[in-house]
Amino acid sequence: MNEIVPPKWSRGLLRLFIHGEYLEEIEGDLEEVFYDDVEIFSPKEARRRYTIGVMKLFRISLLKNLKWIYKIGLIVTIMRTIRLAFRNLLKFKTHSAINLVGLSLGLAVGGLILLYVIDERSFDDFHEKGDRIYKVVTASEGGMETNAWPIGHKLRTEFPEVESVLYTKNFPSNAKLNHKDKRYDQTIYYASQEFFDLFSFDLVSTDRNSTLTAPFTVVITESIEDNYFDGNALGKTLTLADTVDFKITGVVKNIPENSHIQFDILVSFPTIEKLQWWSYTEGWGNFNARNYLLLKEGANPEALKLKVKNLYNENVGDWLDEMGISFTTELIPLKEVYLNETYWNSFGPKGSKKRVKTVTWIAAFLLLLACINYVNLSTARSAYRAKEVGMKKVVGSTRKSIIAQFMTESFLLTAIAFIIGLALMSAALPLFNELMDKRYTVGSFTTMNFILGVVILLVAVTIGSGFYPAWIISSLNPLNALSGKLGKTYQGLDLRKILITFQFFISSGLVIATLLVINQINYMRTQDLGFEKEQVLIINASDAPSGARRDVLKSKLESISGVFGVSHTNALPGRPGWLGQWAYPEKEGGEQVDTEYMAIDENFIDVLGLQLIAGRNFDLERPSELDAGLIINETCVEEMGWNGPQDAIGKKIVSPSQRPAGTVIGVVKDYHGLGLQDMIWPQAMDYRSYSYGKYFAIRYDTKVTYELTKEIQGAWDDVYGDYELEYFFLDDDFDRQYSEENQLAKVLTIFAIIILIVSSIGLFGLISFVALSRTKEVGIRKTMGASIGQIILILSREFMILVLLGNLFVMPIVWYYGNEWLNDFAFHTSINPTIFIVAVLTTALIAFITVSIQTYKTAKMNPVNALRYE
Amino acid sequence: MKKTKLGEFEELVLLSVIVLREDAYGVEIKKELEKRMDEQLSVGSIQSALKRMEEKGFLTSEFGEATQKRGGKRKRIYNATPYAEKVLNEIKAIREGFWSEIAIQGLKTI
Repeated sequence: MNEIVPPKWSRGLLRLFIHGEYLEEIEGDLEEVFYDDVEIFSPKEARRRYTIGVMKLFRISLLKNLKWIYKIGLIVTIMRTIRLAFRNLLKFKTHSAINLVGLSLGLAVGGLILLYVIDERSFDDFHEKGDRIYKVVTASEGGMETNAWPIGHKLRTEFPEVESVLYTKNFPSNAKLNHKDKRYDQTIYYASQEFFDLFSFDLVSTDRNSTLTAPFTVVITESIEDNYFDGNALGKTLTLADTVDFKITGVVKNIPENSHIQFDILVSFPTIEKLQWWSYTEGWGNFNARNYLLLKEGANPEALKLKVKNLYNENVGDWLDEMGISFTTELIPLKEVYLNETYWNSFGPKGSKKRVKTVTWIAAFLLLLACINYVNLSTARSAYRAKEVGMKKVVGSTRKSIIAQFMTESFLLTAIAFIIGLALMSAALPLFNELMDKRYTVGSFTTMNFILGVVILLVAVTIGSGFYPAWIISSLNPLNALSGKLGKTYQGLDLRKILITFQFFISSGLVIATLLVINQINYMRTQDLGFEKEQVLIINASDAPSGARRDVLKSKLESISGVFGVSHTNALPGRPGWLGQWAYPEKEGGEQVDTEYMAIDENFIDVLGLQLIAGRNFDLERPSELDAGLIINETCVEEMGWNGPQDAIGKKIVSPSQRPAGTVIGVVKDYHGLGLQDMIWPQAMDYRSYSYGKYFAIRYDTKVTYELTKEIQGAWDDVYGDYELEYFFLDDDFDRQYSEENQLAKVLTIFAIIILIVSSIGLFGLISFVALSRTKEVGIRKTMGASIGQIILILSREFMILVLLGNLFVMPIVWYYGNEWLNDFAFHTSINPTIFIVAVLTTALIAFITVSIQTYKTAKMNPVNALRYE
Repeated sequence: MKKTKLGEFEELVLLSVIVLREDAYGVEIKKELEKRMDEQLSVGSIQSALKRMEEKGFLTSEFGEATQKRGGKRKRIYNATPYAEKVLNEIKAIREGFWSEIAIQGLKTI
């Protein structure tokens, strides 16, 4: 282990500022306190305390002796510099305003994104043993984040470096909490006794180590305690699923929002052994464990990762080899679970590294663009400040002090921009929360990490915007500066051109990307899905008991006027995992075809509006077809190698498993069971008269929606009066699959607009200089007979070329990455060339309007005045 | 109390110095005060009080021994001056005067 030492940079800071005579003593004191802290807290906490301790040392009596020269001279100098900076900012009002708008927009967006990024990265960083905790996942590919049962057992028993293994598992999802004759939905998990040893959630209980050890005991959260037990639950009884009583042995403080684990109730793991047959060592095919392991202190996680990687194959390898698949076991560090890209997290919220990266880049670009505005305007302005700098140098100013003067200006501007930015941030907070699905408050701006981040941001922006101009202007030769030999724009023109090109490179790139995403969303929305998602209302009946009452409800629903058809089904397009099962029927020659099969009733096809293109639907009049008939989709026809839908009718499907063997009686047109991100698989449907389906799908007449919902409620209450009716509309539900893309489109649109604004106002400011410096030229041209239009053209041409160049450069890049993005969708648009044209026209038009406003002013001037100028 | 220029916190630090005798250095004073006041103090607040009082002539100090735990840095041991003791006594007398009067009035809440 490394020796634990106080943080170096804090100590450096200390040495820099503390009075030399006191240094040894104070440093010693701090170190002594630090080593005391190490014994009590974690090294991290001790370091944090040390740093805070250093910060608290900034007191006049302890600081380095600011002797008289500093005390008076330095303060006077600083005050004067600030006053000068203010005067200069006020002198060039337009430019200061442009810079302020750009920087405050940039800092506001930057600040909000900083908040978001800090928050996303802070997930699960509060667990004391967090460094040693890993989530165990066994899978053949990404997605499911669960583990096979025996793996947990093997880790627990056969690996000495593992201190303990936590088991968790979903509690049956239809189990509700019973309270005063009502049922309430809660998030419930089984958890073994290691839970509170691994995770540092605040637990109130008689004994932290023995909670969750006895069967039929639970731990609940404070909000459950407040809602159902009047704030005093320890020792009381809680009933789940109408029948099972549990003793409450612990209450946990509400779970912090930045945890990937969120729950309401934890049921002790031994309970499972009492409720069902259970074995820790068998069931290799049973992938519903969620395991976390705690590594022993000092153990090497990388070595363990290698050892467990093939644990699954080593134990059931033969069987897997036959199937041609392999499973790997992975250990994901606790802090990375939330942002992990490969596996889902159904334990709580899930972040997206991609989203974090995207918004970080956009914020960085926006800030960069705002800095570029500053650099462009300041260097353009340098001619006007040359005399000042020349004079200062003649009188004896050093280059350093001139740089300091200019940096003060940029710092001052950044600071003012930040104050405006703070106001913008607070105002935009509700919008930002909605966009990012977060719940930040103004209070979030006061966390230590955020303040630190903002300070770094401010310093970076000050240097990024101020340093280059300061460097250039301070390098002026005083002789040239004073004799006015600098010419009108002096130097840095080429750099300005490059920077403008870059600004429009970014702006236009973002515009194109935005259009691309919107295009794809429109495509997904409007594409023929192969079924009709409108006018279908779904009742979610998964909680209500199944059996004969289902048939009663179904016939009641069918008799409502305005209802065209009712299907009782387990499958619903757009719900992940909506299809029944995978099967591998064989085509001629024995090769297997990966097929989804599901069971439907006779109304399914009509209610969902699937199109039969050959054969017929299930019919209650033909019982033999109900028994052994199959309806398949076009893809299935193709994969089985049959010649078209008609040819498929009457063909037999042979399957190693019981289903979906049978005879094809109908073929439906391909339809999208999932969003257009996913491909269409071969599909086979057989008939089952459900009395235990999850959903009722109702096709209805939209003209009477309101009356209809009333009647449906009535029908439901007649049959299932003691359960809540839960219903939704199929089109809304299906479109939820596009929420991520919708969010991306919104984010991009907003940023594209902001970035365009920032680039344009930068251009606006720059043009005003150029136009001003070419006043005489314009006067002469006008006397020679040039029209206003011609002059605008002459003045704008140079900049329009830059804007177009920016557009041109970014196109291939967006083309490439756009295609990469689109390829994640099984069904996608090709990149439409018109979006490039639209982007060029948009940016060029905005730039042209910006440029013309300024140039028109110059062009309109009376040439006599123009020639008298200066 | 303007005459003596001894702040309330300074007074507490000064008292700790006297109580701690030869152990009176930064960290020890901090611990003593934290124990008695039941609150977290920073090294900075103690140190600035010590330095101010040294300047005002309430304290003298000299280097003590260095320890491993302090990264080899020496402690500075503080000592109250007779002047400090005089001032403390004055303060105490002023306070006691008040308290005896309050006791006569019979203030119950304190």
